[in-house]
Amino acid sequence: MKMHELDITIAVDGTVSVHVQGLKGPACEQYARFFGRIFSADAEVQRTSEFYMPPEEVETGLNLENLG
Amino acid sequence: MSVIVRIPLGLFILDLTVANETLAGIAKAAGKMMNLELASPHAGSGAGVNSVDLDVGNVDKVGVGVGNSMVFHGNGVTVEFRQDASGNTGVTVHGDRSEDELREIGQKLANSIVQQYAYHRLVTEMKERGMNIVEEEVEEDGTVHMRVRVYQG
Repeated sequence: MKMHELDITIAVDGTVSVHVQGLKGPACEQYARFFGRIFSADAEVQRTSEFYMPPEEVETGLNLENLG
Repeated sequence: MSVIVRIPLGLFILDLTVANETLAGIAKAAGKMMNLELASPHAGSGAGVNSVDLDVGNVDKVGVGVGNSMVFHGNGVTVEFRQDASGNTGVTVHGDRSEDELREIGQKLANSIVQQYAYHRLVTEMKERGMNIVEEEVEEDGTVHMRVRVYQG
């Protein structure tokens, strides 16, 4: 079973920052849509080197597709 | 990859249209941090020599047409969060203080509400999707950190 982690910071002004770790490829952009949708706001995305790595095969259990 | 979302205060105000215990709890906790009491929505906009309006950010006008408000009182200051019948949101701070002081008080209260609102929305949405919060801590300045573990497959 594959696993990745999110480091989430909620600043005192309410700004939410999420760092996605252990998820390679553009699949992690689904998190940008997910968090943006929760707060009806545009999510600013900063791509790290993991974004440009080949995506892993994902047997969607949690499913990232369920993030909406 | 990092994702940064700046939450508009107006979103919380729009959620007042579905006023429930959770939102009231968020507001009450935030007010307590500022020594402001959550008052009856019918308490009025309050009196004071000065008043300032805060920027609440742009939000989609969902749930419009239901006028609602949340009012805080304390230390000679009144802070009103409201949505009028047209769906326009706003925050006004009244009191016998300078406009700069009123703006600072209102902004601090608004920030506190938005932070707690963000926390509540995040935790609720993530739990619904089976995402596990494995660590959580609050720094001295109030910043909240969470580590969330997601299993796939």
